[in-house]
Amino acid sequence: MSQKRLRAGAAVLTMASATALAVGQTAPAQEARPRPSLNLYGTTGLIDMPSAQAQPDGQISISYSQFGETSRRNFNFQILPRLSGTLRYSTIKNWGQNDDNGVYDPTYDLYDRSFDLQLQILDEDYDGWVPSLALGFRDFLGTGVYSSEYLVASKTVAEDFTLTAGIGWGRLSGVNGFKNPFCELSSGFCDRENDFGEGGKVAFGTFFHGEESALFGGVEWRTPIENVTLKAEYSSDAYSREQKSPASTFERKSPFNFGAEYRWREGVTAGLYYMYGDTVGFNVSLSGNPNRPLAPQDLGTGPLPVNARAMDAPQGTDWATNPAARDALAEALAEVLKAEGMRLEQFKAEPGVVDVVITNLRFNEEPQAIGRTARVLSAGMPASVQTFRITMMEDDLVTTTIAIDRSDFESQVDRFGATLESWQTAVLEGALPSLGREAWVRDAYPSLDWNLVPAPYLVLLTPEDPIKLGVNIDLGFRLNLAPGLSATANISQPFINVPDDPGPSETNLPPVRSDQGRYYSGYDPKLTQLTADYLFKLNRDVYARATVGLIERMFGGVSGEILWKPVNQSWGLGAELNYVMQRDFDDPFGFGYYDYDVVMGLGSLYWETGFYGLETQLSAGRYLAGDWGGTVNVTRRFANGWAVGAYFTLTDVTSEDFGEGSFDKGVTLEIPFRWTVPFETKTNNSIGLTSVSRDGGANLMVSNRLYPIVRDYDRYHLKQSWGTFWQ
Amino acid sequence: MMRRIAALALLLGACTNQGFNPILVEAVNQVNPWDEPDEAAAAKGQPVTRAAIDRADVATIRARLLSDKSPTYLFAASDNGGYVTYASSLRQTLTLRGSQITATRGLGWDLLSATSSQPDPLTRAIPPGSWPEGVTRRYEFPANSPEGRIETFTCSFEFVGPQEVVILDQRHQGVEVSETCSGPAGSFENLHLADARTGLVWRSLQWVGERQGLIDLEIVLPYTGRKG
Repeated sequence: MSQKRLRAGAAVLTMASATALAVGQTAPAQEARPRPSLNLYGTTGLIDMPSAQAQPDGQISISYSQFGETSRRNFNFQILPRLSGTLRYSTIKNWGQNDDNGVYDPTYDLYDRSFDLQLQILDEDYDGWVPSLALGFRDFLGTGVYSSEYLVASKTVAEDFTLTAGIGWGRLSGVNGFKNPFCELSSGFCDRENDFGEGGKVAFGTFFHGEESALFGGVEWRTPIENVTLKAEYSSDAYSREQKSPASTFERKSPFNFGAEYRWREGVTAGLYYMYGDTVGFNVSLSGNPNRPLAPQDLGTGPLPVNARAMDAPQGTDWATNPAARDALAEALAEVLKAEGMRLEQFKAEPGVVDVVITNLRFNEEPQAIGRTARVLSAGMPASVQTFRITMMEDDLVTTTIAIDRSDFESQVDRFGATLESWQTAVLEGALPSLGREAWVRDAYPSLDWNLVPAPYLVLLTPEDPIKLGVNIDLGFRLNLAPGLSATANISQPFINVPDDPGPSETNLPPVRSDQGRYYSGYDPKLTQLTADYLFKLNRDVYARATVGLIERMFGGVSGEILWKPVNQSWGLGAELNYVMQRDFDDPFGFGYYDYDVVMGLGSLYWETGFYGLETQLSAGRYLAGDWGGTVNVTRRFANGWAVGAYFTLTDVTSEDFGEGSFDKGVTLEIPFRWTVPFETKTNNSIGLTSVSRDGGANLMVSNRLYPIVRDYDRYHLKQSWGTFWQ
Repeated sequence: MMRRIAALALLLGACTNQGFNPILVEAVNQVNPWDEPDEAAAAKGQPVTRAAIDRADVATIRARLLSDKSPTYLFAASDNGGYVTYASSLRQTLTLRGSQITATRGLGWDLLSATSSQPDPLTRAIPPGSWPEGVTRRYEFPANSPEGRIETFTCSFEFVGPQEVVILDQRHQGVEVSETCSGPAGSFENLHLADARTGLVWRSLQWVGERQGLIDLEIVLPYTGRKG
């Protein structure tokens, strides 16, 4: 009998001892490797140089770094296991540049946006000799300040050391360079143009170009001191342009950088560095992963325990044909479902089948609401009911009907593998527009809903100010008149950090978005929406919407939309047509100031690729400024509601007329509140990292577009989160 | 001060014609040490007795996460083919097959389901002298698909020695058994106290997932089948 067993025995008796903890915990079969660290560009790397390691799939990091006269705000996303992207907003003080009058201003501060991609070519073989290998493109969309490419390799040796070495082009060829090897292929490779005008275009012509290339490298040591990492690197970035202005105080004296980083807790890291023999720098990063919630996944009320029907349970069906009995059952069911977080909208009973239409008010993932409803039906419906047909409603639209065989349900509940079996036996189809006249319908019309919410907003990456935070107080009313028919009024009261009127913008196009700042200025309350809306279904697969009124802060008019999206199909088609007029920025009901109206609209193809949750939306048509073109939107959507997307719009507006950025593009981020708290909620936080508001490629902002309403209820999305069905 | 913080949290959480956001109300109540009704406080203080359990005649277990100070009583609420679900007053649930925990809900990180090769002395009592050398255990955890994430472990039993345990005033003469499990995802150790005669596992420390860890389970009043 070993000593360990004796301690284990004692643990059984006391059960609370620390010894129990020691013996009982899982020991991972393979020691989990630490997440690779980030550099001062916000990408995986050393200090200022990149490395070839990759973050875990889906990892999202924001970081702020500063040294000398450079500061960078970075947003990094591991888009796919082998592809990461970084959006950056940098400030370089004393950059020096000619002002509007052509006079050189040595104290001119540069505000610059840039975007990087890094492609993982090889994964490291930790047991062998193969290093990780990555190809990177830095600032390939911006104005070229950080334009560079690199090929880099990293190898972990002796468990705690990671060595990195690479070759760089462009900005990364500035120190001890040698002749660009690609010049041997073509002399054209020796020329590198770094003036990209308004920026925003992919600089294909510069990739791996330039007279010289240079080597860089470094080492990272995860020290025995817990959570402390030391780094040293040799940088091939000469920082020549930063030192050009006579006002610059930064002087690069050495290619060597040294630093120490402390990981305060998982996802929070701070670093301090001695940079280029001249200055001290720091970096703070916050990181999270959609697949690893901050809060425990389930600390709420468990699902209702259910028993299978008894063999000798009464099989009478009179109740189904007795309106009074049916209504009493519906009322009771509504009460129970309300306690579970669902609202019963409609109920229809036939001898062997019950139909319920519910709105999920609580659960972040729809299958959890479906499963809990099935449990309530299983516990409460007469034994003669063999099929539960559960229809999900969202924003007054019936979406998908899930038919569940009761015997299947009873034979699956609590068993191993029930999740997969329940998915395989559930039948999905588009919901009928109505359950018919004989259905019980919630007595909800007319009714008034209202809400009063503080609405903090974050404006990021504008040319003047990298981060602008403000707070409005939003008051909203919704008058529900009939199923699908409602009137909405939203009023926003500017409250904190209210901007002044910036005056008219300079644009060659109708100022459909470039004057946006004017609509947010001043303390007068803003009528941001006053509409009548009708959302309805034409048949099982076709949804429609009509909106009239003050549709958004800047435009009012008429909007119509139709969407064809069969539940069991991975793609759908939509079309939207609008006639809108630009509203006055200082008069809630005025349209005279701009005297601008336009007929515009887009046709859209929606496609769920089935590849790592990637979804695409391709749209084409006419935009607000009367320009014609198309938009490509790619979003990675996680089962728990996280979504990270990017889009760009190309229209017949020239890059010169468009202005800075050349064309419209941006990144969107949606974070489910449920990810951060240990209780169920459907609230989402959305952040848009868009480019500067310009007039080309601008779309109307409609609050209740159809596809976002119905998206979560198709086969693909329900399958992704079906794991919550029994939770 | 706490009241002000709570009020502020509610304000920031928005109000509607339905009242304050009920989820936030619940969250604030969780952290607000004041405003607890006297009855609720009194009820919390009432000790559960063996006599009361016997009078109720409902199968009862006690369970405690190792991070919790005191155990929670759970009562049998459903039986589906031998999978008996026990629910607490807050409707946190544990599903047991015999003495094996096969599912947890509402405790933090859910174990969706679990199974084991047979014979398994946890699912069906086996006198200690007849226990198999080991079993294979399979656990299903939530994943972004209907399949769930399945983890499989090979487990072996080792008898430690005779041991006595008292569960809510009832004394059981038993045998302590350690169960060592390992698999591709890692390894863990369960500990059981089985009845010396019948082999029923009265008390055990059972692993229910990497993130949830161990649950201390006690059978207060065993489940003996559905009535009627």
